Amino acid sequence: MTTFYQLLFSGFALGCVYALVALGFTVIYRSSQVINFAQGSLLALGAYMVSWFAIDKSLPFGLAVLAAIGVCVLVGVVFQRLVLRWVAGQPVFVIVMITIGLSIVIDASVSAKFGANPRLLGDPWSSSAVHPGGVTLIWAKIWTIVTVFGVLLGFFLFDRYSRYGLAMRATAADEEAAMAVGVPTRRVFALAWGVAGAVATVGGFFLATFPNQLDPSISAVALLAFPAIILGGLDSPAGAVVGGVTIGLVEELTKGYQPAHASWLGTNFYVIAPYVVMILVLMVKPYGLFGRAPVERI
Amino acid sequence: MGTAHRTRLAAISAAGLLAALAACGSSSTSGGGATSGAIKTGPGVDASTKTITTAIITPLSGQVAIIGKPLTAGQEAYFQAVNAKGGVDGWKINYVEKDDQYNPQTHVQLYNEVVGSSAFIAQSLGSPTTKAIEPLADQAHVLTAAVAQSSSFTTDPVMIVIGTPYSIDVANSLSYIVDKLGKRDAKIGIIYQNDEYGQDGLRGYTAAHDASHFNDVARATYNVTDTDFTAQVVQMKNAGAQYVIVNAVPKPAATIVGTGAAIGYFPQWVFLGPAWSEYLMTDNGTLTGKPTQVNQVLAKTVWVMGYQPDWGDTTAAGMTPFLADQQKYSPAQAPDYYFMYGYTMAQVEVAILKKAIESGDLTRDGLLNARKNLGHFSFGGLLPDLTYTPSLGPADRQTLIKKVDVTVPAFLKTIQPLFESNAAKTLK
Repeated sequence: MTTFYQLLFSGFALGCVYALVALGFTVIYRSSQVINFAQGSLLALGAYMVSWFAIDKSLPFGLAVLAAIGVCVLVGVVFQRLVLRWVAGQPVFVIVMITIGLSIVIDASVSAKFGANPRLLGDPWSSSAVHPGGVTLIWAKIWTIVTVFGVLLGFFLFDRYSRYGLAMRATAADEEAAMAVGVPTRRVFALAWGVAGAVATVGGFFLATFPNQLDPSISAVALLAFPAIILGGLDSPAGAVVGGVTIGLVEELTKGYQPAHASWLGTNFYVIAPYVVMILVLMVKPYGLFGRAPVERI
Repeated sequence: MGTAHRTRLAAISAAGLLAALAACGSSSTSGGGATSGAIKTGPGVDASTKTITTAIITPLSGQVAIIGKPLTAGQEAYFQAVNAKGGVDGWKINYVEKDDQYNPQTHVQLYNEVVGSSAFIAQSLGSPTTKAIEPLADQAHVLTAAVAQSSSFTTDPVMIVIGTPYSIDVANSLSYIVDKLGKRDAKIGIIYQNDEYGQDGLRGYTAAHDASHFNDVARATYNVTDTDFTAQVVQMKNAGAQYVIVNAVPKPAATIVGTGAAIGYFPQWVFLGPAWSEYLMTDNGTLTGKPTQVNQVLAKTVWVMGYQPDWGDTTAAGMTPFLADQQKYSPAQAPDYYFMYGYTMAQVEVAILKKAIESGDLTRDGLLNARKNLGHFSFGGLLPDLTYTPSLGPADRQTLIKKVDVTVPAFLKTIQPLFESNAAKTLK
């Protein structure tokens, strides 16, 4: 049973990071129907900025995180205001290609500034852990779960009860109607990119805590979060959270139990298990667990 | 028929004859090459400037750049040293570098981009990446230096492979535990990367098990994009594995050891060479750098398989000139075994070029013949000597074992000199 709880904890912590990555995708998709292929690069940028502020600039870790969030929010907002606003109305494909361009620029800049070797993150937890009932709970992962839930709760309160949260939801529902009633949609788009930058930073640095290291390959995790986004529903923040946690748990528990109990499935089944779950869900709910079917006038 | 018309006809006939002669000339060499003086030339060989162009396709970014960068720096250092001394019999080596990020698809794209203008591929790093271009290289007869010790490459005539194949390294290290240390009842497991590299290590593990029937208690695999290794480590812990072979690349290898330490599991981890990097120990890969979070546990629990002498061990004849070239051409380079490997790979490539030039044939087939008939080659102790003959196979079957030591350059110290196990003798 200890093994089960150990895997459950690790899968849950991993799923929380997936949830943050998925939330970044969802926020932008909801406001502009664009899948942001730069989300993984924003995640790496955020983690490197935390490391830079904490190690190179010797800021206390909390301040380093806040400063890094500030940088990533700024990058997101500036990119939206300086680039994306000028291609409003262009086919989605064009905007997707521009986000791929942003991804390349960020990746190249991070590599040029920080190199390819692993970097220290500067977090205060290191390898410390508690061991209730023989299960190891690494403090960095405990904080991952606590912080992710804090961030998600904050986002939901903002989304549900704030003026700009309402504006974001209105824009997501119908951009033209929102504009007609005076919603500042351009500001909403910029806000969405800012939120995406903030959640990417938090997800990024938690992904680089012990026992992992920080290196440029961290951006690849965005691809692992794709099944979470589809599973939960592309336009649903709640779906991103449920999808992320589900995928993390499926991946870890499959990895832990399938080789011993269903070895006939092969040695790498845990890699495709999240996609199997995703396909099964889509067969029942084609727009994901919490996605909305688009309403069109015929 | 007028004079003007006859003159035009004669001119056309002469042009046609010249074209036919030119076609005959080029068809006499492989790969669309030509004959220049006494030397036949092929793609990537410019006789007018006496330049041989080669390509390095390697991860210069991403998680395997930790290997690709120093290894490439080692090759650059040796090529620069050779060029500074007048080149290979007067021929200068020009190299282009491409970053594949350890991605097989990117690797194939880059190969196609450079192959037309390269005499040979001076570095193709990684088993899955090299496997992806192998059929193309075979078809076009392109000599390719595989920075990967997968056994299958050692029997491919277009591949230059130095060092001991992974399968033989694993078989030797298991023999070290079971036979040399006498741990016949030790519980042993393996965590391997789920690709060509991992499969080759697993082959050696299985062969050693068949030979010595050690107590194989667990086998786990991982994917190179994985971020969490709890399941694999818990599997080893639950099986009671006392020795675990880590057939991985550096970042996952360190995460595996760190995860083990976090859950209170401290077996003897035995890394294959590509699992190790000095940057796992400190932030700049040197003794004076800031220790990483896994520094202590690596120092206490990790052995690394290899075939190179300790950094700075001048009892190896090649060490002094190597260190001199490193100081001259790559002074910022921290002590690093991948740098040494890149340097030795460049040494054997230059020897092959020299042989091809002596044979008067720098076409692709000429380079393949030179590789096939190179014969005995000594690295001056930087690597075990190799012998290339028309009968293909591993260049070497020996392995040494190092332990992590925080007091020596490059952090590794030999605890078992080169040896060859019985299981390794029969592995192909």
